Amino acid sequence: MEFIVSVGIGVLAGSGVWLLLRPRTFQVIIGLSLLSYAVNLFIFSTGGLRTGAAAILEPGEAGTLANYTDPLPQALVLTAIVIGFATTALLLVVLLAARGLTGTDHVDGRERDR
Amino acid sequence: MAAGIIDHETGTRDIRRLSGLNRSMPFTARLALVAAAAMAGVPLLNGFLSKEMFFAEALSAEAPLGLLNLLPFAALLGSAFSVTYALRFIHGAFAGPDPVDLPRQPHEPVAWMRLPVEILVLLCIMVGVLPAATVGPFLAIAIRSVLGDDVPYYSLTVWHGFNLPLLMSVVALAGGVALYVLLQRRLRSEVEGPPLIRRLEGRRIFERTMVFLSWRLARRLEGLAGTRRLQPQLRLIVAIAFLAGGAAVWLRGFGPGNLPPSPVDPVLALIWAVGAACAIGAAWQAKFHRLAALILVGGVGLVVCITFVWFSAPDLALTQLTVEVVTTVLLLLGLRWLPQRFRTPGERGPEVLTRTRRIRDLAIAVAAGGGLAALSYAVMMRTPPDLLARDFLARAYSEGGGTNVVNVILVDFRGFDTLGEIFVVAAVALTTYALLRRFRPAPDSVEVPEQQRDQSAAGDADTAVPVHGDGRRGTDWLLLPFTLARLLFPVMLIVAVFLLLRGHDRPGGGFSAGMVVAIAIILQYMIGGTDWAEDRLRLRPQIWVGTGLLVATGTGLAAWLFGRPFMTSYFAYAELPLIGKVPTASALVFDIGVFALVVGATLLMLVALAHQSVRGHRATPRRPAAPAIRERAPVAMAGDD
Repeated sequence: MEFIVSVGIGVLAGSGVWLLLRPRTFQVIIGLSLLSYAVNLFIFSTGGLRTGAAAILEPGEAGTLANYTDPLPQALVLTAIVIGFATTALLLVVLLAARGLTGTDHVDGRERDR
Repeated sequence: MAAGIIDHETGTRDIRRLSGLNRSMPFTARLALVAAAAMAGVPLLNGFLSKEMFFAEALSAEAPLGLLNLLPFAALLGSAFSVTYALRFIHGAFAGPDPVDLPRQPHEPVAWMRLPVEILVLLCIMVGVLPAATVGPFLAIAIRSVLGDDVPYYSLTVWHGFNLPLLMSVVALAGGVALYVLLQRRLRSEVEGPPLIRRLEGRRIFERTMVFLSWRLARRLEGLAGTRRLQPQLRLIVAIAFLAGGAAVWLRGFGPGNLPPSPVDPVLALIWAVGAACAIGAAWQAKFHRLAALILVGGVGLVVCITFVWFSAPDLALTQLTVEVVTTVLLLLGLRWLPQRFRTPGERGPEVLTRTRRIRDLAIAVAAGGGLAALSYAVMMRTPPDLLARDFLARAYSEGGGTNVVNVILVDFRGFDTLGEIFVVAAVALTTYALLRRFRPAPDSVEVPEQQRDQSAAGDADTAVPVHGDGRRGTDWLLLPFTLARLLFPVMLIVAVFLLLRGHDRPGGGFSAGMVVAIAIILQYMIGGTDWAEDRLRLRPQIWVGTGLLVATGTGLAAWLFGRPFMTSYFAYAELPLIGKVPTASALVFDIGVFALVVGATLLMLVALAHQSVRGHRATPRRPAAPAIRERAPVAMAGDD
């Protein structure tokens, strides 16, 4: 299973990087989303892939890793998702404003010199 | 300072042109004489004291590299030279015949210009005559502050008796005078600069160094590593990140992990096949088919969401799902302002240069993807680090009072991080709003999009007649979804409150709850239209943002009232009628702050972006010819009045 998930992370990251290097703003923003999925999954996977482990403690009990999932990568990724959302929104608006100002949706603000 | 006065009064500081100033500026000459004598180390002036101590130290110094014998002689030679230059300054500038051909007629400077020199000269004399009474206490404080209790013995008196340092002072004075007399002929030859190292000019060295550092080196570095354009910059960043990761692997080695692989589940494998296909499809379609790419990215997001659920992370799945919806709506709203791009049929393939560039980027992308895949595989095949996790799991209930460990970490253990995070979100929302207030779309995006024109025009008989109304709004066409969405609104709000209250113990929390509220409201906007929604809902996103920040920060500050550190939390369980046992930790109040902020920030962004379309509609019919130069119309939000 680990192999499949890591290949999936690789495909997501590869597609994201490819789009990140494209010249159009929309491609970059889509690429950034894909890349952030890949990175979030990677951070999440550092706690190990555990199916069926409890995520919620029994009241009054101190949990151990034998019975419960690792909460730390999850907390990190939750923060990462929120920040990723914020940066995507900011990037989108900056790109729209840049498109209005420069009249082009090329990331460099002008079409490439031929 | 004396040199400055002379320069000011005569217009030159070239000592070869100066002479006989004693007659035109007698008072300045006296001051300069005392100052120069102090520099030369004449007795009863401060320079004598320091020179005497200097000689004494040179004589008693420990021998570094066997230079003990040379050190006193070097000190002597240095002192003799300072006598010589002091002498030259006084003799050259003030003695001799009247100066000729000076830029200005010299005379005494104004009193204020002389005053600083007078003060300093007075100090020279006072320190020189009565050192222990004048400078002694200050020196003692300064030395003690640096050396503490290890101050060695020192003596601040003019007369130490006949000893070797005194003899050296006398020799230095005599030697300096003799040196000056001997050098007279050479000084008259008027050659500029010192002998042997005449070409080594301090100013030129300084200027050359500065030019090299601040211009040539900087330019070369910028040429090598800098770029003014985003595309090469991103390429550089990705390449450097890849190389940095590769270097770490190269240096540390890449061994196999110590865990056996878990069995492959065909269902998840199939889901991931779909996810990978969606990602590649999005990468392929993002240029010409933006909507398709957006839908495919949504597909990838769902696959990620399912993966989170699969591997026991319900909180992440919930957050990912709600964020996914909001992000998609946000991007959909942005699509309208991007230029149309068509692939013209019969177009010849990309130029050679473009094709080379694409092959290079593809190589970078494959390398980066492969690298991250290998890295995550290697990480997953090793026993994960458990130190922090064990700690958090053990203390979540006893110290944080919650059973949802992820939420306890976010609002309690690492609450400060979350506070910083919501400030980031608030800043982003306000920036977005500010940018959009002055948003001017490109001229070709101002007109009503083709799809909306088609819908409004009388075309097909079936679609030409709206269900009711005049057909200008979505409600006139989509009555069923409109009714459903309206009925869903209170249900979604209840779901949000549910998620918020249970967040400390069960999956949920302020963030996903806030997102659900934002989705509920934006759904009304989408189906009912901006005007309809704003007639009924008085939203004040800015106030939500501010309240959220205040509540969250205030919860953190409240800990101070009880003498605890910032963000310390308190918890208890309360029995509420009908609802049952509810955790009433102070973390819940913090979570309510997060909730309010997320609602406000998300709505602020979404609504500001949605309003751009309304502006576009209104502006176009009035002045269709020149839309690009129309006046700025600030976004009038529902709460602006």
